[in-house]
Amino acid sequence: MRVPVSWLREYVEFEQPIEEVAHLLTIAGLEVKAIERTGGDWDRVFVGRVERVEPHPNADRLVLATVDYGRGELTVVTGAPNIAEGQKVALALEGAVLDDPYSETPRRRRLKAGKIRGVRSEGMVCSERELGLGGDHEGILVLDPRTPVGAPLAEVLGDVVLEFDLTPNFAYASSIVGIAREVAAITGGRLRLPEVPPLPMADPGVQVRVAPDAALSRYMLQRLDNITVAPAPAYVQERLRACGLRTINNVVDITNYVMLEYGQPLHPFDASRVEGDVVVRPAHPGERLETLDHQVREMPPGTVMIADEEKAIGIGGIMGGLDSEVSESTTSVLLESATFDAPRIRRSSREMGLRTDASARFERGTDPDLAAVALARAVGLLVHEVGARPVGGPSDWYPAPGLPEPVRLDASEIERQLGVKIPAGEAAKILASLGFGTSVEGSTIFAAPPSFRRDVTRPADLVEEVGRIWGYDNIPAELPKGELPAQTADEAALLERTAREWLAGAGLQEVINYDLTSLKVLDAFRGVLSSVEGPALWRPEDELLKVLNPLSTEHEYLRPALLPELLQNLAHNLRHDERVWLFELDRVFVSRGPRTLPDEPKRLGIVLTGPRRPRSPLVREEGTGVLDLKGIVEGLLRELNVSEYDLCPLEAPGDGALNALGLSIGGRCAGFLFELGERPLAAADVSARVAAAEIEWDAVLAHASLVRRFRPFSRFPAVRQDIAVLVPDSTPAESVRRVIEGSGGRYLRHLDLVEIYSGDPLPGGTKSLLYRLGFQADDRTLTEDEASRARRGVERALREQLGARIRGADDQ
Amino acid sequence: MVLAEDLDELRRSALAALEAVGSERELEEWRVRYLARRGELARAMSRLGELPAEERRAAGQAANRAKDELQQAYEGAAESLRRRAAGADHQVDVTLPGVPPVTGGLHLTRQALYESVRIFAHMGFTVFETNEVETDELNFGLLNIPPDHPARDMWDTLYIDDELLLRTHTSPGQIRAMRAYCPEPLRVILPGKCHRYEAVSARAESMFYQIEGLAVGHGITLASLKGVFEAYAQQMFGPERRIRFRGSYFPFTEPSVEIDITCHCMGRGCALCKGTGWLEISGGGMVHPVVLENGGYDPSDVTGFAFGMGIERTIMPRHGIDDIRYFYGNDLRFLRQFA
Ligand SMILES: [Zn+2]
Repeated sequence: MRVPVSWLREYVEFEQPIEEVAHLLTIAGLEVKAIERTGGDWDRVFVGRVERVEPHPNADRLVLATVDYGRGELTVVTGAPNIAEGQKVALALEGAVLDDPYSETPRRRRLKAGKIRGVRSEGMVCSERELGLGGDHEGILVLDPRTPVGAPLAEVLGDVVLEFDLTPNFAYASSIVGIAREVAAITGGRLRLPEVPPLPMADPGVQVRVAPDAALSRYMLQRLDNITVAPAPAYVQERLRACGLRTINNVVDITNYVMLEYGQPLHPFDASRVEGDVVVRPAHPGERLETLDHQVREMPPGTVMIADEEKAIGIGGIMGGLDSEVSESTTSVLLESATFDAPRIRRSSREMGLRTDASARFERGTDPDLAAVALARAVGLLVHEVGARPVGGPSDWYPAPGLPEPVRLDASEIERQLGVKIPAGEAAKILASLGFGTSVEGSTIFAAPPSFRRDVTRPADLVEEVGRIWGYDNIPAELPKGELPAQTADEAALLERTAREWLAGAGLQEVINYDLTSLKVLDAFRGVLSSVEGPALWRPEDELLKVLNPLSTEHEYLRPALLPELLQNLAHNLRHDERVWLFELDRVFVSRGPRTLPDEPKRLGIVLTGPRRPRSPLVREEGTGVLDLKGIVEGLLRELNVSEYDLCPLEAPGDGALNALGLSIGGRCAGFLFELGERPLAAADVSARVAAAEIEWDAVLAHASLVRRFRPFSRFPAVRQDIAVLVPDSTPAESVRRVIEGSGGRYLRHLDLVEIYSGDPLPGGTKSLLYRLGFQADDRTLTEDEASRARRGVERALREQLGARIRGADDQ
Repeated sequence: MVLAEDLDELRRSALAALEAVGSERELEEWRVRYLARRGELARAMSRLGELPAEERRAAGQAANRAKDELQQAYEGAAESLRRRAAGADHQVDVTLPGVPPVTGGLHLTRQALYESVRIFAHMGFTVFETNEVETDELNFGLLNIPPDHPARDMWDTLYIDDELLLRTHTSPGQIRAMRAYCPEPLRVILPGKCHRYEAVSARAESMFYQIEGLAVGHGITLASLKGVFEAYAQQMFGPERRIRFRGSYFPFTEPSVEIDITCHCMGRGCALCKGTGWLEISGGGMVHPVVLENGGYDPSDVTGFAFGMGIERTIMPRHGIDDIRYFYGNDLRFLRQFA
């Protein structure tokens, strides 16, 4: 909202510089977004009087105007259709810098004297657009006739405009009068509101019937005859322009002027287009109306319609009908001032997709008592400025008049909420300055809200008023007193943090993705590991949670899994990085049906691709694979003290995955570790090998612990024995490990696979696995013999159970 | 006692041969010759069985001693070879680039969240997480924002259906936390993702993290909100920072305030603060009595304060980040700078 300071000063006196007033208003909750100055750069532009207008000798559409600007007369050539003798105009002399009205982008040019069609033009009579005042370039700007000739234009039209960004609670202050009231309360300045003549006391000049189910609390209508539609007085036009409104004609401009001044929207109907009585009623089903903007609109149910005996003439509180618009031929108007139901206006306006200056104000709520004041003000201006003649008095439907209930506030409540002592007397003074009727008894303040403060219903509302005017700057900063709540350690949050930090330490970068993604991104995982029990990596469209009003198809569905977006992150980063190790630990969304809150389980997702270590000439290059992933997951589970888990190869994982492992925790498959197959890679346009994991986090949490138990270790040395086991390539290493563990006896404490070898001189189709066994007792040093005996037992078991050969022992 | 002499001879010749060993390969040859399972020592020991029983024990002990001695000598030689090799390796071209370690990192938002949670924890606040898909009632209704209330315009909302939506702020967590703690006093921090129907630009994201704080109990005032927030701002952004309150409006707090922090330019005025010297960092106020009631508390007995802030916009100036879209673009060239 724009507030010209010159207008504001008419209603409130203040001595502080405008910057300080703007700051005080901002601190009090009325945010001044900008302080704008107009006219500062109107050098060499003066107020002139048009003395003569004569035809141009060489051009039909141009005229020669002789203008007196106090220091003499000038002749200018102009094509302005609205120029006339006696007008006060803005005369720019040679050298003045003006806006270029023909440029699409803002551009300024310096005025030069020159000949136009053979006649010398010594200056220019300016349009609004050339002065940077607005969009109109149809004709020249005509100034208030009282403007002194010869005055620099900056002194007459130059102004400071406060640009406000008001929150919805300040609906009552969204006007010049409203801001003036706030300024008076904050600065202690004197308020002087306009003199408003009373409305005629007579039988209504027009009859109104209001249907019982129409959503409004007051409806007033005043007939005015003897209207001559013409441009509005210059001061009205100037102020509308300064507030950013278009000027239309005297009737419409005056209603808008009063709307800006008081905050009450008014609407004039051309009385000649209205048949009989005016009816206010809910819209008929499917009812249509062509509105002022030349659109034929269908009314949503419940919309309040203004109609006559035959047809609708306007949408109540939103926009008038085109047919009853005030036009040049209008001689008589019905002027409406009403209080529509705010939620109703809001709903209709939204459903219709039509928001106007009027609806924006009504939907925030207006004061029914103000409707009468604004109507009287507008009638007074129309009588004075247009020569209108009221016919009878206003029709006034106001079934439930009355002021808001007084509210009681104890000064101790102010201290309880704000943490500062403000004496009752001082609080009452603040409330009085805001228009409340107040009285004080001891520490109790009785405050009767004015009619425009129907939002104030409870003590907390008064505390806020007192606090913001008293000044939030004056509130001290102190730490909370009172009892400290019981502190609980949140183990789940700590475990989550431990996991993230461990993964970061293991070389993975955390990402955070949008919860909303696209079907296309999700579809890369269609069918991937879908036939295996475990976390779903994909769900059909009808099982997904979809946003009704997405910003774009890229952010339309709530993700059911982490890997689809992680794969996108990986693909994106592969364009400029070769090593991409990412993880995300966050929610996925599982629908439980319409209107039911979904499950939001957390998952851990990991993707790995590229070299195992950052590139260096001193490090052997090795690509990342599923075993890196396995090591990471096992390391993490160890960090979180999850012992009840199992990682098993998955049979037939399908074509979306290869080298897949299922992670069972507590006997249930809670995750997958695998390499991405051809299909998901192609969908994401990735050609690298990618290892990926997705794990249900709740399953991990259920078996995780922050507390680690000490396990005693032997103080005696271990005896090391190596076994090189030759098995067919197809034998999983895990089978070999199990046999060794099963046959190693009670002293086998350490078992490491230290080398895998195949090729010459081994037979084709075989591999050699070199295991390092450590034998150790708790109470003594084992002898070499004991260790060897145990080792030979292991060797026997390997031969018998796996048909393995033991290299070194069996090859000679 | 032929065997004993043989063993002694073997021991001495083996030790002498070990003296001559000068490389890993020679050492391995020595091991295979003397110590391997089919080496000379093993062969000598296999002859123990040929001895009369009464000699066998003593000879066995001697053989084991010899074996231990050779084993130790072997390990000693191996160790000194390793040291010698290492010594040669000590000559490094130290101008070569260092070997980069494998490092990862937490997302910048996560770091800021953890940092904030830590600071608030010192003031007695615990983390309370709630869901992201919310009901209209929790996100608006119970927060004193009925349907068709003009304040609904303050939150452009993404809807799932006529009852469910993506939370537009972490404030519904206030109701959930109060219902979980009531009638006990509470101090909680509610961090989480929020969503808005908002065109994405350098300054605005459709998804962002919010940190909400809520304290309910006796002695909770607007002054204590100022104290808690100032302590937070000073630990997070520097002890020289100040905060100020500006009147504002949120339907779920009354009074409502915007919380501004002194700009990084320290009041000199810069483009970031548009010359004002202040940056808007958070909104908050005293919990509205209706909201306290909806949470189960008696507003005549206890009071509460609440605040909420967008974490990305709060930390962007600190790191000189000029475009919020970097956060969830997940480009490693961005993330790795903060890892
Ligand atoms: Zn600054």
